[in-house]
Amino acid sequence: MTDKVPIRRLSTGIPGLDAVLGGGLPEFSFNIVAGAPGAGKTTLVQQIMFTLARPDRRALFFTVLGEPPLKMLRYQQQFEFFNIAEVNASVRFVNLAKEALEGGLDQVLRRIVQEVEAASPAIVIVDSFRSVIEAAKRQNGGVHLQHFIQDLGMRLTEWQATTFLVGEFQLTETEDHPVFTVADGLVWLHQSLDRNSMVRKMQVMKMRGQAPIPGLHTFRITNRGIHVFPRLILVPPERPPVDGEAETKRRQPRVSVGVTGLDEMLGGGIPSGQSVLVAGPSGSGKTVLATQFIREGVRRGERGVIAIFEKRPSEYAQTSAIGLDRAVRDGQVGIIQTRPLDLSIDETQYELTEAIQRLDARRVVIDSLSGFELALAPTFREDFRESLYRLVAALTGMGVTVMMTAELEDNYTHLRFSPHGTAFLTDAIIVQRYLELEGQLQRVMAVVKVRASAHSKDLRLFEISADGITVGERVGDYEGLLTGSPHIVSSRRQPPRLRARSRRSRS
Amino acid sequence: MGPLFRFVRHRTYIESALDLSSLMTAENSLESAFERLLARRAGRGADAAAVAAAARRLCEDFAQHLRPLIGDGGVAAICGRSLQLAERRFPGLAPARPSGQHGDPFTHVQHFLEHQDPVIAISAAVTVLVLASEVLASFIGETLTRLLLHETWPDHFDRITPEPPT
Repeated sequence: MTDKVPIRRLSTGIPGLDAVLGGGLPEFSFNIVAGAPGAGKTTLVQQIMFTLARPDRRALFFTVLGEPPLKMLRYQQQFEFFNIAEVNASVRFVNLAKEALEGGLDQVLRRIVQEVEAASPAIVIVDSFRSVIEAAKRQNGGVHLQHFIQDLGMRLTEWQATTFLVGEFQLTETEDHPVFTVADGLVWLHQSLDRNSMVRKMQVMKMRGQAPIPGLHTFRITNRGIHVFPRLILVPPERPPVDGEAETKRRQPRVSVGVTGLDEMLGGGIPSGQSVLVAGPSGSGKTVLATQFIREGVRRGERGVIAIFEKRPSEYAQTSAIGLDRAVRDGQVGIIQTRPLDLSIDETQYELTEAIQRLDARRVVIDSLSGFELALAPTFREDFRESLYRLVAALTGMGVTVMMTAELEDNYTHLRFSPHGTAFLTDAIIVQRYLELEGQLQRVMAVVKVRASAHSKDLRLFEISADGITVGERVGDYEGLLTGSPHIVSSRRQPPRLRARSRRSRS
Repeated sequence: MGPLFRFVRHRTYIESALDLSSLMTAENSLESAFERLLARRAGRGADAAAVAAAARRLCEDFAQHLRPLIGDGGVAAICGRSLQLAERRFPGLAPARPSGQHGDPFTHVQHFLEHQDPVIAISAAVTVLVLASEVLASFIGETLTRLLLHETWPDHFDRITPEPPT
C-alpha cells in the first residue's frame, strides 16, 4: 500500500531554514515561533509570509498587543522581503488590540474566525499570541485558555491554513501551556550574549511529520532578512575497508601543491580530497605555500576558494608572493572574507560550500586557523576544535582538497604542530621552522604525516622568491635541529645549499 | 465662487512645522485632493456646519481604513499628532486634553469647525487631513500611505506602484 497522505512542504524563502525544518514547512501545520523580545520572531514569520503569499494563497497577519502596528510596519518594511504592493492584496494586516483588551478571548476568536472566513487565507499569523494568553489569564484563567487554544487549533485545521502563533515565551514555559502540546511545529529563537558578542540561534524543537536538523543553528538578520546557517552534521564514520580497498586508497590520485620538492616529500602530492595543515611561525611562508597550491590548481584547470581572516581580499590577491589577482578577476579563484568577530563556524561553512559549488572548486584554503578562531564569536571559540573537525569533514566530504595554515610559535623545548590541538584532524601535516645555521636564519620544512601513505622524513631547506617556494636539500650534517641547538654529526663540510631542482612544479 | 474655491494656501506654515513634503506634487497635491473631496462632500457654497460635517466624515472614512492595519491606538496617535501640529495655525483645534486611545477626537474637530468662518473651516479641515497623511507617511512610508489613501478614496488618490523586492 502506498496510500499514505503526502505532506506538501512549503519553501519558506529563508536561506537555510527549509533544511533545518527537515525539508520545508508542512502545509496546514500549526506552528509556534517563540523567543525573547528582539529575537527576530516577527521578522521570521513576515519573511515567510511575504515569500508564500500570492493572490491565490493569501495571508492574514493579526497583530494583537505588544509592538504597535505603526512601528512594526515602519521597521519591517525596511527589509527587502517586505513587498508593499502585497499589502491589502495578498497580505492583509488586522489589528485585534481592541478585541483583546475589551472582549477577551471569545471576541478575539470571533474576530479571527470572521476575518479568516471572509478572506480564506492559506497563511494565518497571530503576533503576539503571548498577549492573548496574558489576556486570558486576566479573565477566566487556564481552563478558558485551554478551551480557546483547542478551539483555535480545530478551526485552523478546518480552514486548511498554515498557521503561526508568535509569542514571547520562556523555555521553562513549554510544560505549562497547552498550546505547545497542540502545535505541530515549535521553533525557538535565542539571542545569546557572550562578552561583547551577540549571537542569534534557532532551534526547531518539533516539526510533526518530518525530521528537523537537531540542535542550535546560528542565524543572522540583515536588511535582506533572516539567513539560517544549519549546524554541520557529522559525516558518517568510514566503514572498514574491504579487500584491496586500502591499497586502492593508497594509490588515490595526488594533488600537486605546486612545489616540486614538496610534492616529492609528500609522496607525490596531497592525496586528492584530503586535508593538509601547514604549520609554522610568522613569516615562514605558509600563505605563500597556500597561494601556490591554489595557483597550481588554476594552472591545471581546477578552481579554488580561499577563506581569509587577516587581510582584505584585494590585499591578499595582490600582496601574496605570487599574485592571484588575475585568477580572481577571471573567476578561477574565489576569495571569501567573512565578517570578523561574531562569526560562527556554520556561517563560514555555508560561505565556503556556496563558493565551492558556485565555482565547482576542487581546492580550498583556510588562511589561517588562528585568524579564523579570532574571527569567531567567543561562544564558538570554546568548541573550535570540534567545529573544525566537522567543517573539515564536510569539506573533504565534498571531494575538495583542503589546505589550512596555522600560526605556530617556534618552540625548541617541545614539538608541536598546531596551536589548536587540531593536528590530528588533518590527513597531512607540513611543518615550517626557522633555524640558525652558520650565522644565518634559514627556513626548513618537513612533512610530519600523510595519512595512509609513505612520505619523506627529511628536514629540507627552502627559500621564498618572487616565483614562490623553492625547496632545497636535506639538512643532512646536523643533529638536534629542532632543539634549537644543532651540532654537526660528521666532519665539518660546507653548509647545505639550496639547489632547487625546479623552480616550479611542471608535473 | 464658493468658499471652497477661495481656499487660502498655507503650506509654507505647515512645512515649517513638519518637513514632510514628499507626498506633495505640483499637479496632484494632497491639499488639492482633499479640497476637492471636501467640496464634493460639503457641496458648493457650503456653510461652516456643512464643511465640519463633511470633514468629520472624511476623517472617519480614513480612520476606518487605517484601523485594521494600525489599530485604534495607531489611529489615535496619528490623529493626536496631526491635531497638535494643526493647533499651531488654528488655536483651539486640538482638544484641550488628549482624548485617550479610544476617544473620539473628531467630535471636537467638528465642533471647532462649525464655529469658524467657512473659509477658515475649509483651511483647517484640509490642514488636518494633509497633516494626518503626512504623519502617517512619516511612520509607514509614502508608498503605503498612498496605498491607503487610494483604498479610501480611489477617485482622488493614485496608487504608487512600489518597486518589487529584489
